[in-house]
Amino acid sequence: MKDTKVSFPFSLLRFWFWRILWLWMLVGFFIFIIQIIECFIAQDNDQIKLTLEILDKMPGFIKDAIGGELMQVGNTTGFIAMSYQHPLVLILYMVFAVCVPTGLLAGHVQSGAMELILSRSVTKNQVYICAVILTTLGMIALVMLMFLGTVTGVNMCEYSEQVRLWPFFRASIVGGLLSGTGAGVALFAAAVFRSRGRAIGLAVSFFIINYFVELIAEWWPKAEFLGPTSIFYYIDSAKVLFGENWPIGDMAVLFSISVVSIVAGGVIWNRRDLPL
Amino acid sequence: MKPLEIKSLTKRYGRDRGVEDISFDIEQGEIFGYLGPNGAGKTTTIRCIMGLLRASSGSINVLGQKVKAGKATCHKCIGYLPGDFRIWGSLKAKRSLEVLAALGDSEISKKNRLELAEKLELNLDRKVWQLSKGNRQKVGLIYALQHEPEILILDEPTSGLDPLVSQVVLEIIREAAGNGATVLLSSHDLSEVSAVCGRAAILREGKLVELAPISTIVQEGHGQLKIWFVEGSAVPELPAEQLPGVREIKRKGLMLHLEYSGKVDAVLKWLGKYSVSRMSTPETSLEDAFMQYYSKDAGQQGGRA
Repeated sequence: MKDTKVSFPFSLLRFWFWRILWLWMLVGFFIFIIQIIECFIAQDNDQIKLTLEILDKMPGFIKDAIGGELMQVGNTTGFIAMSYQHPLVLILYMVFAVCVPTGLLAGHVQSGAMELILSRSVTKNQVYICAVILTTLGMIALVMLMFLGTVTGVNMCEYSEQVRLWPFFRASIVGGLLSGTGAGVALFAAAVFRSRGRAIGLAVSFFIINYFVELIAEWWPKAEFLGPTSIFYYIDSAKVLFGENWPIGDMAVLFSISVVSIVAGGVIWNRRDLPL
Repeated sequence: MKPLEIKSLTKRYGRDRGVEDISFDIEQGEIFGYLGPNGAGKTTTIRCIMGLLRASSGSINVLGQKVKAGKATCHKCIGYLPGDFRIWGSLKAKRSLEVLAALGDSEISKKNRLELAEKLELNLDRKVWQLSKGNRQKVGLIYALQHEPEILILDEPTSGLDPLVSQVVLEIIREAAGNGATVLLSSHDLSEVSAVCGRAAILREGKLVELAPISTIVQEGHGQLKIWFVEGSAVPELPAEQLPGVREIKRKGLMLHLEYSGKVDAVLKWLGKYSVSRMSTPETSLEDAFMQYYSKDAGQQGGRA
């Protein structure tokens, strides 16, 4: 009889890595470029004034959503940080965070390939862990790439004031944790649903609802109490960029949401009948 | 220890039926037929054996190890062909098979893969989406067989294949069994089951209604009799009250085609009154026997496959 021991499926991890690499590179490229562009905009006060004039003509929540009062002429760090919470950057993160786990789990269940994978020497838990590893490492790498974009941009430009890079590193980590919650929810959705469309629907809805809850809570005083229910509430740009310490409390909340979602997804995935 | 043992397996999908109280085992080197119409519970049983579905009750042992859902119990030793074989369409067939082989014993697989592709006349360098349904099924067969499994679980292996290739596939299955592999062959193609299987189980509405050697199943079927009466005589009406269990199938010219259950004595006594030119006894096929198990519930099949 052959050896029946089940070892970790590194080959599946490798195979999936190559399948998601193009998406990671595409998202990473845009995030990297956006950081560099932002650094160039931030070195030109005329450009800053023009951007602020445009923003001032728009409803207040738009400016709030991408930096609020941090965006002022002379506050280069605040202005560069705009690209860390720009909706386009958030959407790019969301694309990766949602597409990867839903594609790897629900997508493979839907296409029938999961039945083949699970009929080989691979346990359901190992399959889930592979999806978690690739999603998590992909997100971490994107966060690092975003920071690298800022480092590259800052070194390419000349500023009237000295731009410290450390706050951006901190912002990258906190931003990464924020996206990580989305990825956690996407993993949960991917573990629960057979249809990739439904999994994407749940994960995207989570992001969008949270985003708008935060906007409404900031914009409408009567809805202020809703703020803590949104993941975006736990990102305080001023605290992250100019605070003395790491925002440990906020980071712990975001980290907990990710962990709980991932663990809950894992439990459901393990108990679920597949490929039904 | 038998390579595959199933004891009182029950699987329910909420309130829906899956399979109920299924028990059978398969000897090493045996090809075991698993018959039933769509929705009878064949695929449910197979997915429980593979640990893809969690059994509601009962137990399954593969090579002496108890199957636990999702734990890939003895999967290195199992070759599995799902009923609906679907694989990454954008990859070449060869690459897809390599990826799957790497999740087990990839060293043995490479050599076998090429040999099997040659036997099945399949070009593995084509992308899966470019392959016809039949050729995709061949990829599935290679996937199931490439690592020389000790147990083969094949869900409708010849589905979509032309008769010539089907014969090659059945020959490959026979060869695998000859080399000691234990085969569970699920099918509703009765000719292929009777061609290769020694024993078979018949499933109806999730329950096992027969488990016996193929020859016994065939014998249990209704017998048939064709009678040609002499020229100039009339073909008599069948006295139903005198001949219980005898049914007229066809009447054409001087020929009367009957179906009977039990012994043929009563029919022969009744025929003694008439001038018979000749008689024949068409062989009862597995198909005839099979149809009897289903004639009661034809058109009322439900539940999941």
